[in-house]
Amino acid sequence: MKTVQNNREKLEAQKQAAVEEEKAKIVAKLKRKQEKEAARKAVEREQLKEHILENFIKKATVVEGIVTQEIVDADGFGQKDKGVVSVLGGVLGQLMIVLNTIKKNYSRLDMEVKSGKSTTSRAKSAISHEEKEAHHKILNPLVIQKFIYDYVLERLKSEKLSIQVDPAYVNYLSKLPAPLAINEMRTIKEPNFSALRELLTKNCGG
Amino acid sequence: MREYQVDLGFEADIFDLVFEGFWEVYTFKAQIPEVSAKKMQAWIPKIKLVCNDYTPKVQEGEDEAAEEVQMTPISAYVRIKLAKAKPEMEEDEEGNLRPSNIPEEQLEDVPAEDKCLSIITQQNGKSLIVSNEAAGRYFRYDLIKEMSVSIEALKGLDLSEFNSKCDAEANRLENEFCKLFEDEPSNESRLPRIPVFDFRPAL
Repeated sequence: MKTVQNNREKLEAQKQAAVEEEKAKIVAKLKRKQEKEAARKAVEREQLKEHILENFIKKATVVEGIVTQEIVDADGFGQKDKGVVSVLGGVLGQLMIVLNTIKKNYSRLDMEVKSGKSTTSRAKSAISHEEKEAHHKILNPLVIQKFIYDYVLERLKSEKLSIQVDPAYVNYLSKLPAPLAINEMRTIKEPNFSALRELLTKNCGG
Repeated sequence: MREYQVDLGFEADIFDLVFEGFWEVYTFKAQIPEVSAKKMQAWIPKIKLVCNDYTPKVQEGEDEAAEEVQMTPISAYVRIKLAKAKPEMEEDEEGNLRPSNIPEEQLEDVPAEDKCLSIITQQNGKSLIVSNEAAGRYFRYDLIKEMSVSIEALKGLDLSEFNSKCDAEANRLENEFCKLFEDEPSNESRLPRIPVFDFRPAL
């Protein structure tokens, strides 16, 4: 009886070992496949890097006077076969970085805290937080729009400031009752104005 | 950028302050006291709107849905970084002089000169995203300088300190942006999974 039991246990153990061995083989095979795939990707990556170095970087031209150049978004505005000076987010993206730096590091310069008008009749300590009017001296739509206006008109060192738009923007302008071409603008009446702005907001540039 | 402004660490409203602000001005809606529609006619020609080629130009009567978008897939994100100073030489155990093992990113930047590379981003079926560190720096320095002149609250600003902080912020933001292209399961962005390559060409 004991021998039968022992044999059964032995057989069960052998079966279990075979299953484990099979599992290990599958895991090892999968690992080899993953390693092979990773190696293939690494080779492709190196080849791509080399291709970019030879065909894009080494063929680039050096331009002097950076701020006098037309600065475009990092995708080169999708222009083919044209050398560009590109930065993340284009000119608007760079302005965002500057303003983000102000918000993070110079908020003391930006915020002007005005006390409520009733300071004379009440103790300062009694003025609620809500009564204090926080006012942005820099990160304020009017200040930034005025800066954009003045910078473009008077301080721009390049011939023009380039901004990317989507074809939907051009398409919309062409379908206005009095059509406009790209780079033309006038006061647009409602409801067309709101529709145009919605289009710009939605597509980040039309 | 709008879609990923939180991932990129933009503080609230910064994106709209600039993006919507620009279009407020461009569409004659800015409430700038001394600016009239007539004055705006002199401003508009200073802006060059460039239509990207990513979406098809649908002609009247064409079926928009039937039109296929013909765009070159993006192959890589390329960062043209500033050159780094050569590492100092150190003596090894046998007394031989070798360059120190300081990682490249910890070496000092070679002071940027006012020049950069102009690169083709799309050719022969390959399309790249290219960010040019020197160009970004110089352009931001110009913006900062002009802001410190025209915005009262920024007058007297230590420009050198501000520029350094802004460079650090630009690097941080770009690193976050690059993560959106990583081929990792944790990356949920809708951007293509492409490699990021850094080049430091000597100009």
